[in-house]
Amino acid sequence: MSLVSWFHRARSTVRLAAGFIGRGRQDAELDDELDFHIAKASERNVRRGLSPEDARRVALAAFGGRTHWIEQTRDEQRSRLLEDFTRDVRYGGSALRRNPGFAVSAVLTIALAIAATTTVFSFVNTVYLRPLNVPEGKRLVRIYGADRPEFDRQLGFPAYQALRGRARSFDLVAAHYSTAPLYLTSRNESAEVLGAVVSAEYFPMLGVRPVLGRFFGPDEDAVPDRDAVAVIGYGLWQSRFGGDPGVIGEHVTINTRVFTIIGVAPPGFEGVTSGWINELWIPTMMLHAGYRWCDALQRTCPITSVMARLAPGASLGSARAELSGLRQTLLEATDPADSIHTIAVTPATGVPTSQQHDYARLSTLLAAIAMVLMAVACANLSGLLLARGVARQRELALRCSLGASRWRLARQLLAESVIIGVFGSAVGVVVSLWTSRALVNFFAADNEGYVHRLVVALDWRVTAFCAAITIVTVLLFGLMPAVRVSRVDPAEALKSGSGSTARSRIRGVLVAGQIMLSLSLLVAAGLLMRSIARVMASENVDAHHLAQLRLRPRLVGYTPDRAQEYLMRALESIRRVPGVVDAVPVRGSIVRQATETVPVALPGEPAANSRNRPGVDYFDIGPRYFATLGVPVLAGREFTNADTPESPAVAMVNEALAQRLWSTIDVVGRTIVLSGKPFQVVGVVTNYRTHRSDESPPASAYVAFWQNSFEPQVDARVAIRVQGDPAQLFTPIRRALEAVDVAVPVTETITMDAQRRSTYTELRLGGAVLSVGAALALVLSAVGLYGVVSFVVARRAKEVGIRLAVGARPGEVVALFVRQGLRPMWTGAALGLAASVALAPLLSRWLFGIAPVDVPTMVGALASVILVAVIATYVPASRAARTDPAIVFRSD
Amino acid sequence: MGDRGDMLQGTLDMLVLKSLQVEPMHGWGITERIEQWSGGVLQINQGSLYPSLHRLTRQGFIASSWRVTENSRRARYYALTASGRRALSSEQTSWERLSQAVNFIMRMTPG
Repeated sequence: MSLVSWFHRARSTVRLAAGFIGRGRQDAELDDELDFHIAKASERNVRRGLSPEDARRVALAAFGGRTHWIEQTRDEQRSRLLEDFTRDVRYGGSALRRNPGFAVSAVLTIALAIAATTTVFSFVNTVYLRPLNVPEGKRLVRIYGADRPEFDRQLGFPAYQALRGRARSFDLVAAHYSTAPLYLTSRNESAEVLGAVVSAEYFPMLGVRPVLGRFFGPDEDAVPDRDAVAVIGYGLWQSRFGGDPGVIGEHVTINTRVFTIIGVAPPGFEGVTSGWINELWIPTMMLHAGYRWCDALQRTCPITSVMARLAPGASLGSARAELSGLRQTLLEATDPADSIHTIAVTPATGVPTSQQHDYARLSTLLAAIAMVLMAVACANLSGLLLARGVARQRELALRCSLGASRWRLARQLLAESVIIGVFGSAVGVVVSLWTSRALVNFFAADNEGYVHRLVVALDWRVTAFCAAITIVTVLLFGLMPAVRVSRVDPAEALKSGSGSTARSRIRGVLVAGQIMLSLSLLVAAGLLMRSIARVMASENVDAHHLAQLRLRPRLVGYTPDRAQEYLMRALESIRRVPGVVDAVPVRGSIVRQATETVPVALPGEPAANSRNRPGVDYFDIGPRYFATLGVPVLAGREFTNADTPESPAVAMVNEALAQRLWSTIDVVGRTIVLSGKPFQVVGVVTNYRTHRSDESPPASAYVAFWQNSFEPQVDARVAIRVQGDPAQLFTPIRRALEAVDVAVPVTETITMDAQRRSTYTELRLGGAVLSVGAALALVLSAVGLYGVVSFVVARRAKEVGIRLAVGARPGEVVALFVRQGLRPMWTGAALGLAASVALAPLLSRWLFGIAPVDVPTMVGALASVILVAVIATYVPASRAARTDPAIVFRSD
Repeated sequence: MGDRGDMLQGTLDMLVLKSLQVEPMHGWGITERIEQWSGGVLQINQGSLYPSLHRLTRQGFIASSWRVTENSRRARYYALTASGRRALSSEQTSWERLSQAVNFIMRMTPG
């Protein structure tokens, strides 16, 4: 549908709607009045000698047809306001059509701002606001311990038992552990599946129905370890069992226990933890199979979360009141080590509360960038509309002196803004569908190789937000030009093109503001990009040819002896795969986090953690670990095959720990006490682990993997150095491991590059968004600057003509305009640099290997801004030099 | 606004106001009165009369109400309002000025 016909259709719709109210009564009266008139006219015609029929026909003809008459009269009656509104819209539409270049750039500018804000809001909606996508989603609440804002605690299974049946605000209460990696073996295939351990109320509470079979009955979730039954997800049913209805009753192995499949969940049901897609469910009475680190049925092992459904008539407020009465009972059922004092009840919206805290910083950054883009876009459009207002000043002044009210003129300009806003936001919403998907794709995989999927969708919240933001935007960029135009003094404006100094000043301020925002964004983007480069390059580790995987004999119940015998053979088989250079075991993550810390001391000191002797991160590493990673050993040696449980206990330290304990790195041969146990230091390595710029390098100790120094090894991560692309070798490595022992789960198979990327997702996302935002802001500022200079050049054409006529060289004229045009840029740049320095600390959490105030970054950003600004002013300024001096003689 | 009559724009409105100066009248009566007063010279285009009446109503110059006629029929009667009287007198003044000027021009003899 063309723009024109759209307008016509919209207009007639508005007319219909406007006339509809009270139309019946009005029409009846019109008919009555018409009938009376026709009757009188007919009477006269009869008196003049016509037959009654002819008399009536002639009387009717005098009206030019009944319908026509009614239509015309109705036109007069129609609400003036709506009539004017449609006229304004029509007029604004045609004004925009006459100037398509302006219309398109204005619509795209606003579309960009709307797309940015809508994308961010979609993200916020997904993370915080949207209820779970299940039939009973709106009545579901989460119940958790909320003493620490950054880290909410699950209440655990006994608290669920204490709450169940006791709180009348809830009609159902359920316990769930929804991030359970379950190792599923079925039909001769084994793989890790993300599962959930849930109580029998879980499915009824959500209102979900099985597509096949049934869900857990209360009796199946009553006695620990008795009923080994499982429900599988629709996706798993299709992929793993080919959609076979005979799957019900089939026996599968989950974490070495035999389970019977009793049901299939409906398609699209992914569990209750957004971003974590469950594909397998077992009852809470099977927690011992689903979780192995402690007894999850005890209060000292609180891994299950509690959810509930509000009873009909109950509110969040009544639930909170009731829970505060039950507080003591509940607290007694929680882990004393967690020292929970506050029980919170919140609607089950978005991702789980503890993850919401993780996203808070990122959401804030995204919102800030969207705001800046919105501000820059609005400033730009304001400028453009002001310039248009000036160009049309004489037209408007003329209409004003012909009797159009100023309010009317202002409204017409506002109508243009409304059209731009509406079309812009329509385009913006479409763009945001794509960009918000791109945004959540950053979270598609975590640093252990698990898949996450956050679903963004255009729901009513997003639509409402978009409508609101459009109104705000239109008011922001449309109101000022409209108000200014309404103040036009017709006499002044008709006389000449003078009186625009104030307006130029406003536009100068707008440009300066845009430059300031662009420069701050550029500096922030530059910092993050440099930080990302540092992280990915990771000076001391050659990550491009490294992969890791995790061998988990503990999951299948191996004793330490059997597990270690397996690990030895598994490592040997990996090393034999063509392309593999070496494979070395490690306990703890390779990239960043330490698994645990231990108290550290010098011989003779008490071995307790204290304020001046904090614990150190420690890692159990195999022989040749640093050679495999490519990390330089500064002094001494690293561990070898000769370091066995029978040989003396040895350790390595990094520079930071050596400096901390002895103030030197020449420490080979000294003794260190870790967790009360003495070790001889045999080597010192560099501080290779990535750390934040506002923190000092973490002190780390390394002990020999095979010496089993603190507890016997069972599971291990394996660092694998390869030639070529590590991802290519995963399949042959898996084959080799299956040949050793098919029963042992192999998980977290991931290249080191991918692991790095996903460990720093937030940083990369922040960097990408900031870069795009900064580039857009810079382009918009350039457009704004270009507009201002073009405007000034056009205004002063006469003056330029005179200058050229009296002998000024074109170069001088260009320089004049460039100098003048760049003036707001300098102000903006100065403010922008100041803002960057002031705001730098906000970024420090994301800065690795780079200081928050980084001179090269600032110089680079400033140079780009100056370059772009010079181009944006030079192009229109050079047009001035081509002014025909004869313009002087032309009348205005 | 579809004034398709033979009269100058705005003249019809003025005549309608004038016809109501004596007493309230329904639309048909207004037509008859103007024709009568003008000796049949001015034929009111009836398709224009009612739009004019509604325009004047909206401007607040006249008000309408339903009454029963002498023949016990229902008809809408229009009456001048206070601002309608003021509008009529100012229209009258400017009309007189205009018609004098036009007459003066038309009576000029060439030469």
